[in-house]
Order: sequence, then structure tokens, then C-alpha cells
Amino acid sequence: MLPEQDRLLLTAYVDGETSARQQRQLYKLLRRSGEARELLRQLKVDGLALHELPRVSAHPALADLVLQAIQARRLKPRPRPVPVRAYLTVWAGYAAAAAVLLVVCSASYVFFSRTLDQPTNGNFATNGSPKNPNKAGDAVDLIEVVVKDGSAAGGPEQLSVMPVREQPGETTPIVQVPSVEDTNPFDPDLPPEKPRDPSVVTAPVEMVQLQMVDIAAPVIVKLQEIDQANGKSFREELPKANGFRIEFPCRSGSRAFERFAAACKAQDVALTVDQSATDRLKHPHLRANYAIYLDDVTPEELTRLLQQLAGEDKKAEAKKPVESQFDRVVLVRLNRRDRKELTELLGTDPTVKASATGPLGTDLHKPLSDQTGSQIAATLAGQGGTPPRPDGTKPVGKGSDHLALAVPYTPLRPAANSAEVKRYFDNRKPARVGTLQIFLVIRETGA
Amino acid sequence: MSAEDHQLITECLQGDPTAFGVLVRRYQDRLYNTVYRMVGSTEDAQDVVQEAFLNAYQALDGFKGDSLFFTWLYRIAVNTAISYKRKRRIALSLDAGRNGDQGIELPDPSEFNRPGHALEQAEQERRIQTALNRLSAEHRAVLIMKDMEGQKYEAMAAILQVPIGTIRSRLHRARLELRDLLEKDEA
Repeated sequence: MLPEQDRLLLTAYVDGETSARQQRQLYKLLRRSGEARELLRQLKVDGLALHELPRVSAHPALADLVLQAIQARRLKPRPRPVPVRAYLTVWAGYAAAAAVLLVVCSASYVFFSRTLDQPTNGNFATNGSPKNPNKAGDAVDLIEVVVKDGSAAGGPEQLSVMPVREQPGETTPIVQVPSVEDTNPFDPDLPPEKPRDPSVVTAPVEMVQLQMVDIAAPVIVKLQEIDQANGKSFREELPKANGFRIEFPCRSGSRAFERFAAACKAQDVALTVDQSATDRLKHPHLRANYAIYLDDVTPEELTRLLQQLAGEDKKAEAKKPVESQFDRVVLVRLNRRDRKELTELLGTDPTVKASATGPLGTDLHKPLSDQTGSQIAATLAGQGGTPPRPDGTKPVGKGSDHLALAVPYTPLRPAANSAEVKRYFDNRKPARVGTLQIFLVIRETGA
Repeated sequence: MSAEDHQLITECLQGDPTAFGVLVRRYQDRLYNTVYRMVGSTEDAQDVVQEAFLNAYQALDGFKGDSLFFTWLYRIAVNTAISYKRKRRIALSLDAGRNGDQGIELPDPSEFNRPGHALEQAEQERRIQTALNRLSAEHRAVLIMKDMEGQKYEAMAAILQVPIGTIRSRLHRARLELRDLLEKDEA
């Protein structure tokens, strides 16, 4: 194995960044080491292979996509930021450093003063050492027992050392701890010692409380079998939570999306498509993934929508087998990470907004008096103040208020705050009780 | 910076985004090639390059003109690709096995009259790209910039905004790591 210094020299040579002196060193190295020669050859071959990788070109429509995105997102060149540093003088840096130092010192002082103030003066014994040698020269071991000097009551406690002789054949207890109730052995008139803080004897132990975490395994079923016996696990999972993420691996993201849009139309779900997603759909040969958010649907309505989707897919497959887009779907409960992802994609967490309204459309964020006032005003005007109680069990009819929002599923380019996203949130109605929040991802796998 | 680029940038800043379209068409292929090798798939490369152009458009007023416009664009694209790969590192573990795309282009049709040669080339490209994909984003970036783009240490340091010593050591480690990966693949 070549030393690191030699290998550094070899890689620098391959980079073409060696000085004349380094080159002389390298030639010497190459003359004496066959391993170095072999490594240099391999590194050169690797570099050449990288250099000869074919050059790939961008899609001709890239410029158009960029311009469309600029228009859709209403982007404008931002004004040049004013450097903040220009306003800071040198003394500001010193002042900040001094402040940090002061805080650290103060915190250290408080911490260590508390730690060191813990009482450590208990009875303890040390093994006999020749500090107090037995002048008589006895062969018996000498034990030094350190006890509290009770004679110093009222003043600072003092420690005294008492020599104790150990009798042959007798075991000497290492530690002698008097009972709390005992009187002071040195002066019976003095009160007994106070019970000691247990923390003196043992270090504080952090208490860890274990919590039960409910983890649901993902349910994977074939889309075509959702309404059959094999799809039972899927149907049974839906009522168990109020939010789900459903992944649809598919052959072509854009074609699968069109199929989903057709299913929405057939089930009276108004699908709002973000402009950048529409732009993507114009180029079906480009790979694309889509995210769809849908709420205020009951488990039954969702199952019907997916059955419709399966039907659309089956119809296309009947015409041409390769046109089938979907195979399995993956159902998982919506978790914190999914909500975060939704927030990043849409600019706001739709699940929070949906749950902030009560069953009768009461906005929980507004004071009750505001809403009561408006309801009374509406009643006086002959319109009635309370909307009819929605029934989540009935199928969706014509003119349904079901809304869904579709955006491209690209973590880099969220559609947050686009005109379509804003329109969707403006038109949203309060969710019914017992309905679901669904985050669908149409993910192109090409397979 | 060329006078033509300067003129187009001025027009963009005056509110004409079509001038930016001309700049995109001029540099998209060079950027795309580098980004494609860094992210390893056509779809991701498309997204990263598009995002890089959008970032550049928004930061256009901050371009001081003390370097080539392409160098400035290149810096934005490389940094966007590096941050994209960092973000994707966690997601990839979830997607492993689901997406079989390796982002490998088909061999050049002109080589079809020598199918054996074309296959060998495609295999060699697959090996190199697979090994590249397994390097960290920083190591991959310096290798591509050095061996594919022929950049000097100083230019790479300016683009990645790190000291030259860091570039030297990253390249050193990247070359040895790539060699290890290729050796394992050969074995």
C-alpha cells in the first residue's frame, strides 16, 4: 500500500496540477515503485473514461418550460441585496465575542458551583496506609476511620482520624454508617445527625419514560382488486385513520394522470390542475410525477373513485395491453413527514385547515360571537343561519363540492402560491365529519 | 462577458423574459450535460437545470459581470445539483428497487454498424455512471468538473466557493474512491 503522500502526488499529476519539484519527486517514485506505476495507469484510464462519456443534450422544450414557469410563478429578478456587513463596524464583532464569552463563563460558573456544592462529607473509610504508622510495630493492620467530629457542633464541621486496631481473626467493616435515630456517639447531649441527602450516595439517574407508538404497516393491493376479496385489507384500513398517503407507481406519469383526471370527472370531483402540471402534461414524453391532494371524501367515496380509476385503466388495457398504467397501490397513514411534504408542495398544510372547521362549517379560529352574529343576520334575511347537516354516507351527486388539487411532484419546484393553488384554497368548503384527507402520488417508474 | 450576453441581461432586467429564453437556449446543453452526470437521471437533470435557470433569473440583478455569464450560471447549476442530491439521499433509500432507471442514454445510432463496439461503450458508460452515482455529491461534482469539463483548480474553487486545498483533497479522495468502486465492479 502506497503512503498517502505518494498517492496525493499521483492524483495531482493526473489532475495536471503538479509543480516542477513535485514532478521530479513523482518520477523518482515511479522509478522505484511498480505499485505507483500501476495506480497511475489506472487513474489515467479512469480519467479518460470520464472524459469520453458521451455528451447529452437538454430537451429542446426546456427553454419554453423555463419561460412558462417564469410566467406561471410570476417570477421577477430580485433587486440586488444590500450587504449587511457594510453597516457593522469592527467593535461590533468584539462586543459580540465578549458577550458570548460572558454568557459561557456565567453558565459554567453556575453549573460548576451547583455541582461542587453537593455535600460529600459522609462517613467513609480508607484502607490503612503508613500515614499514621503504628509506633509499637504491631503486625496488626491499621485502619484509619474518618468520622465527623461532633465536638465542633455549631461551628464548621471538622474531620478527625481515629486509629482502630483490627484484632486477628476479626473482620473489620469497611464503612460504618450510624443509624439516623442513633444519638451522637461522642456526645449524647448533642442532637442526632440529620438524614443525608440520597443524592450524596448515588448520582442522580435520569428517568426515561417509554411510550407506546402506534405504527401501521403499509397496505399494498392491486388497483384492479380493490373492490374484491384481495382488496379487503385496503378497505378495512381506510376507516382506521383520517389521513392517508396513496402511492401509484405507473408506467407514464402524464398518461396515468390523464386517467386519474377522467376518473375524477366521472365521480364529480372537481380537479384543479396547477399551471406547471398542465405544462408538464403537454410533454408526455418527458418523465413526470404528480401529487394530488383530496379531502372531504368518505372511505366509500374514495373506494368508488379508485374503482373508477381501475375501470378507466382496464378500458385502455382492453384496447392495447401496453396502455395499462397501474398495477399496485400502496396505502400508508399520513404522518408528520407527509404533512411537511404537502406543506412544501402547496405552501400551506391543507390538513390543518381542513380540520379547523367543525361539522356545521364552524370556523374554530373565529370568535363564536362573530359567527353567531352573521347567522342571526342571515336568518333575519330569510336565508336560515345553519346549513343542512351533511351526510357523509350518501354518494356524491351532481354539483358536488368535492375538490382536488394536482401539482407536479417535484421537491425542487413546489407549486406553492400559484394562482391555481390559491383558487383551490379559496374555494374549499369545511370538511364533513368522518371524511378523509388523501395525499396521492402518481409516480412514474417506467416499468 | 460577451456584449451580446450583457445586452440580453439588460433586456431581462428591463422586464423582457423572452431575452432570458435566448440565454437559456444558448447555455442549456452545456449545463444539462454536467447536471445529468451529477444527478444520474434525465428527469432529475431536467428539473435541476430548470430550477437553476429560474434561480438565475431571480438573481440576475446580482450578477456583477466580473466573470463569464456561463461561469455564474454554472455555479448556480452545480450548487443546485449538489443540494438536490443531498435532499434525495434519504428519499432514495425509500425508492430503492422501485425505480429501475439508471439514466443511461442509448448508444449512438451511428455505431449500430458495429453493434459489438456500441454495446461495449454502453457497458463502459453504465459502469462509470453507476460508480459516479455512488460517490458523494461533492466528490462527483469535482470529478465531473475536472475530467469532463477540464476546469482548473482555481475555477473549481471559485464555482464551489471553497479553498483550493479543499478542491485538491476532494479530487484526490474522489479519484481513489472511484477506483475502488470500479475495481469492485470488475471483480
